[in-house]
Amino acid sequence: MRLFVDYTLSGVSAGMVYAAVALGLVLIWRSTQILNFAQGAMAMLTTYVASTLLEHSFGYWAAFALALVAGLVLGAATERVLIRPVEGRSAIDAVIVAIGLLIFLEALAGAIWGSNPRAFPAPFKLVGYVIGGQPVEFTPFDLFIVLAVLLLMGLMLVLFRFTGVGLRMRASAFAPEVARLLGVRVNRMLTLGWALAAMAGALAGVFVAPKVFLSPTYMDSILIYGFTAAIVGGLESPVGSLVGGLGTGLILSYVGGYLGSSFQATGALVLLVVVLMVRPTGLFSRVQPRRV
Amino acid sequence: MTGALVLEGLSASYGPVRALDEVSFVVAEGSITAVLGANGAGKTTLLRTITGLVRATRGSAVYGGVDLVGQAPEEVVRLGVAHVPEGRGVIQELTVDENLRLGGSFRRDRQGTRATIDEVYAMFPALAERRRRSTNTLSGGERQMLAIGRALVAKPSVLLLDEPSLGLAPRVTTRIMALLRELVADKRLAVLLVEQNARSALSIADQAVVLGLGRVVLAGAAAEVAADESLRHHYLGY
Repeated sequence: MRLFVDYTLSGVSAGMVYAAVALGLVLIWRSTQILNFAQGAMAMLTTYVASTLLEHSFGYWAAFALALVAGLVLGAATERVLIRPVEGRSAIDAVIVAIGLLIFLEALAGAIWGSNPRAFPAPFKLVGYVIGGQPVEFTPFDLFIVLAVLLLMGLMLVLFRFTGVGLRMRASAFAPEVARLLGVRVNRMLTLGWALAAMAGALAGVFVAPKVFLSPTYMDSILIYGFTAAIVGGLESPVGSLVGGLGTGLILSYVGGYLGSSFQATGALVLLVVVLMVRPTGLFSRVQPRRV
Repeated sequence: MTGALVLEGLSASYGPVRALDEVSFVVAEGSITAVLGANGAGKTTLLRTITGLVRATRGSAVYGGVDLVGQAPEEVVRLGVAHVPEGRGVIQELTVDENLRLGGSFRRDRQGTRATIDEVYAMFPALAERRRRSTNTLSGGERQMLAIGRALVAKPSVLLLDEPSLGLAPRVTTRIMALLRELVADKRLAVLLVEQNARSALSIADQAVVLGLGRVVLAGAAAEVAADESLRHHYLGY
């Protein structure tokens, strides 16, 4: 029972990180039908930016905020410079660009910062809360992660549901040509979508680094679990990425806890296959499946 | 005749295929010009070229002293030329109200936009009843009304309509055509109406332009074209 509580709590914390990564993937997928394989590498880069700022005696919160800003800028620049030329071309072109960016960014980070893992601080204690006289696997930092990702999701929801910009972004995603005829500057909405996606990734990057150390490839496995979460959630709705992230986090935590951590990647694959067999479009999707 | 929209030598191609060939005519303020012709005659391409969705290879489309050729679609509507695309273009993932708000999302005056949206609701009470509902609950005719209403929220001077009667029952088509006539009278709109349904388009149009293989093969007063049996028979097949 105690173990179950521990696995559940650490699953929730990990799931929130996967949800943030999934949110970034979803934002980009639904507006450009591109799977951003560089999402993790972009988050890695912004976390290195934060790490460098910390070395230059910036405070944690300043570095945290600037990592998010760096995410916004990196996302917007990626869309403008690399993605725009392949927009509207076949999907494989964008995939190749994204994978190219992934390799480039990891090599760039290695060249600048070296490939030795470095520690990254957390703003809160990494010692578990004590409940009923027993410490549990849930730290003040985990609580911060959960609240921060929930806040991010809430802000995205408000943005999309209740603001003019959000309405234009949704219209650009669902029907770009019609949106243009209505005066929506669709290109700007795509840039904004990429910027927000990279910011969500940057948040995940800062949350993962204290637990695993910072290295050029530290986000690779997180990206895979984020992908699983996004696909389980249906790749289209921010709510789906939250549910997909939590589900993936919990299941992987149970698999890792009861079967051993070497089974986690297999667990992700099994989860993916099962969901795709039962509901091929993911749990939260409006798309009708098509028989071919 | 003062022209709201003046087309001169407008041409466009899809690769080596000429889709529009030197199309010239004038759409006057407060009037309806019906663009007729068989499938593939270039009717839809004409509208798409005016709004910049298809690049013109030569010629001009001047509105209010500005050549629309070379402008992006999102800028053309801001200048006052609204385009209701074929198949209506209602965004199904959005509610009725969101569709209408989107139509005025580039406008700076929020109150004015809200007032225009309320005007549209007054014009189409069926939409007002379902403003918070998904557009999936609308009938074909209501969707067409939503698409036209949404274009009106942009406060255009020129309205380009692509096959508004497509897939609608004759009774509904008649209502939409009557409504267009009223709009033109009320708002002094210049309307370019592309239609496969020549009979109902001619019933409300002032001017008729018949396209064939991208060229203007016949242009004249709508009443004359409708009255001349041999013209109708030869060009419009009825």
